[in-house]
Amino acid sequence: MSDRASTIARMGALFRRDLRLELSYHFQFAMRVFQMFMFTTSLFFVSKLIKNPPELEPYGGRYFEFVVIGMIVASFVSLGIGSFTTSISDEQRAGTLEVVLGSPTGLATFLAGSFLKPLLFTVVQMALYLTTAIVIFRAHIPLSGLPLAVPLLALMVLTFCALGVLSASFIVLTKRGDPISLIAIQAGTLFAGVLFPTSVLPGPLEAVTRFVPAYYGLEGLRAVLLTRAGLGDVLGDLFWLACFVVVLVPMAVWTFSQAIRAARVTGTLGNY
Amino acid sequence: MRVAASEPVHALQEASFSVEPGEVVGLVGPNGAGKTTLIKIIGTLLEPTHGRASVDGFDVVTHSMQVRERIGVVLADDRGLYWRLSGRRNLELFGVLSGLTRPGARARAEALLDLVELTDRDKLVFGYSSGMRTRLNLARALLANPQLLILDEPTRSLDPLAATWVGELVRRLAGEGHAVLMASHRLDEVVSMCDRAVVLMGGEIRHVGAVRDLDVDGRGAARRLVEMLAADEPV
Repeated sequence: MSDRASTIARMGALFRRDLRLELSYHFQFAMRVFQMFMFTTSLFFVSKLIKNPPELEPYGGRYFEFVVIGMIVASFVSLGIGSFTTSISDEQRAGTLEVVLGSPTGLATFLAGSFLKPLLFTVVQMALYLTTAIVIFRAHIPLSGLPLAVPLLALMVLTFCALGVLSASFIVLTKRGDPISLIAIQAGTLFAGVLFPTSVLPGPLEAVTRFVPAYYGLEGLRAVLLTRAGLGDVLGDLFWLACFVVVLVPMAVWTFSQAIRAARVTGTLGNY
Repeated sequence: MRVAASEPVHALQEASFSVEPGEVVGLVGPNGAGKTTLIKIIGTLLEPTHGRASVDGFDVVTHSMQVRERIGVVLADDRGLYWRLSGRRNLELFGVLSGLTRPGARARAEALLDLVELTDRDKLVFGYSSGMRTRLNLARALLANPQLLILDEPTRSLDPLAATWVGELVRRLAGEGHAVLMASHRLDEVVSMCDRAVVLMGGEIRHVGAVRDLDVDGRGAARRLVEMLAADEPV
């Protein structure tokens, strides 16, 4: 088997593992869908209280559509940041981290393979958010913007995966309580504009938004999905997201390999 | 395979020995002697701060991938398996992670489940007894047909019958050409299963030699091992 075929086979095996583990908990996915539906419903009724504020005009003017896109991005933030820390934490508890990393499977293959199931589930979740919002609550989200949304989402996923891998580096060493996921998720909620436009923030705080990757993802995604913006309108967002990817991905891979090495030296790889 | 660590380190200070194909080497010593540390170093799970260990000429730190392709490791606890997957699914997964194709892993899993005589192959590991999990861990370690099998107290939580079965399997694997390094607290087991014994105390090797040579005064090799261990015990 060639190296490439072997890598694909290994990633497939990790994907099937995660899918089987997920399905071994019969109601978990159904409960997640139910929770998502209930939350979307709550957002719909909250949006009835918010009538055409001027701050939402650049985004099409409607709060429900605005916040649904915010929730989709928030899902991708949690996916990127959470999936690696969850995966490492689960493996440490099960005692399988040492066994997997003691097999001839490279770190990058292990991380990539462990990411496939959460990615699939998040895409399904995004589709459910959009379907629920459009079909049940009559949200005005033109799907013609979806092709441009794909590169934005892809860059966002890579950016947040990098943050997730950085975060997992802490978990490898400290086992619990990494600061990166906490900061990234809180910063995403407050400064990226998940629930409200960043223009409502006071000046100095609004300036902080430019350092938050999710801000560019949200701006771009809302532009293409809510205002029918073209490629030229979101090039800036794509550029900044690409910059985050170029800086964060190598940094995350290097940090994670150093964390694994440190855990191997201290003998704490399998601790939890 | 050659293992050597010559510089002073905390857990393991002086350890130099080799395990040859077809040979079973027993690693004995009191708790905290450094047996698991040594096993984890050879298993590429722990990096030595000084010294060198190699498998088939490949250094465990600088060529860890090549080493992993040549070893199978069973750690002391019966974790290391996905408890919410069946025994068969565990082996198929680890088979692919070991470098086998999917059909190859399926066939190898079936053969190894036969070898370790594991029943209830499609039941979740969660419902397995300790003995069944030990059998499954042994099968997992054998997936890539390793040159070196490393076992950390493989009979720790087994009943006497199951422990005897493990002993017979280890001897059979050695007969097929596998090198086996096995840590154990059970000296009778080391005497009956191993060709050579390595006595490790306080992170240092105190004795390396053939088990048959231990019985110098007719009182038995196990008795001699007890005396070696007791000699270093604090009074």
